[in-house]
Amino acid sequence: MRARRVDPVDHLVRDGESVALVGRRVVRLSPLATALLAACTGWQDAPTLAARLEDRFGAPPAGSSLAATEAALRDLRDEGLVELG
Amino acid sequence: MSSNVRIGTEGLPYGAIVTIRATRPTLGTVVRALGVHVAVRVTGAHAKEALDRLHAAWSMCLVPDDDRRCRGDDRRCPDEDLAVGTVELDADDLTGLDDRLQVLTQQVTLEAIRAQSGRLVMLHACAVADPGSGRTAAFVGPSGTGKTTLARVLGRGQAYITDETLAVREDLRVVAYPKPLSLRRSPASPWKDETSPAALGLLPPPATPRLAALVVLDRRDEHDADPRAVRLATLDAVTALVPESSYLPELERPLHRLGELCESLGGAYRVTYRDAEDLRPWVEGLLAGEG
Repeated sequence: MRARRVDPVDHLVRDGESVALVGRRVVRLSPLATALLAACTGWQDAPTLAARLEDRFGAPPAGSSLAATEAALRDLRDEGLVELG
Repeated sequence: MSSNVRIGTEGLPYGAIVTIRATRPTLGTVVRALGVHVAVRVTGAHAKEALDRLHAAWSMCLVPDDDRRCRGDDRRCPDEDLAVGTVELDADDLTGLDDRLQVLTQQVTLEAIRAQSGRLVMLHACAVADPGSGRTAAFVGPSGTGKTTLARVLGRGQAYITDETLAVREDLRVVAYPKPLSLRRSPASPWKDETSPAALGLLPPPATPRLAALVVLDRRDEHDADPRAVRLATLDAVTALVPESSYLPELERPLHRLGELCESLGGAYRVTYRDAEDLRPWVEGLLAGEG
């Protein structure tokens, strides 16, 4: 899986968390989702993104970093914030 | 609705039709809404009575004659070039006029909001101000959360800014919209009566209202304690405000605009309460600069 950021109408970051305006809908993003979105400039492979998240946030409590990253990317895609390839 | 009469006439080619438009009494006025002018055309047999009702209800929004370029003809229609739009009020029959006045208020508001899209932050909110200092407190919430009641209760002895749409410039100046208060006829009724703010004892807006407090409403029937107000973190406030905004995406960097608005106020509040009257002491403190 690879992912690329889709620019929202606006994106406001405060203290590592953020909100995005997608169309007329507001989406609240956790620190992990905010960091993931920030890393998706241009197409990025999921393993690369997973490694960067694990460096910053540590390993997930259950499952692999890659599986957690791919799940987060699918959530961001469902919210209209990334496209997957 | 105009009366068009189609008649065949002798001496004209076969099939020729002449349309005669019957003239109906038409009166006009202009109201100021969210800083723009909206023309209102009142038409029908009872136009004069309807216009009198409209003038009474919109007393704080009427544009003085000197400020509008009336055409000066016997129909007294306002110059629509000056207004961002025109709404019509049918006064052929006084039955149902209250309902049509409510619809007219909604139409005026929509015209004004549309005209100010991309310029002002506009939120579903009521607001009152200290008549001397202009400090303004605004209370944000969706329809049905009691904003009009709040404006009526909190506005006693204060200046009335709006019961529906708060419009704020980047420098925190508020564009007042002291429209008629839309008072629900009964708790279960979808219909409301457009009521003059002056008749409810509310004072007109000060010359330069300035936003001093932004409050997200959380009214709960089961809340039987004193009102509880908490400061919201910027992102919590923005998340709460976006659904209560109008034309937000049309603004440049809209989330930044909202976030900076909240931060310039020291943060927005969320207040949990049951009765509007319970909020009076706290709101009076906000207007006095004690927030």
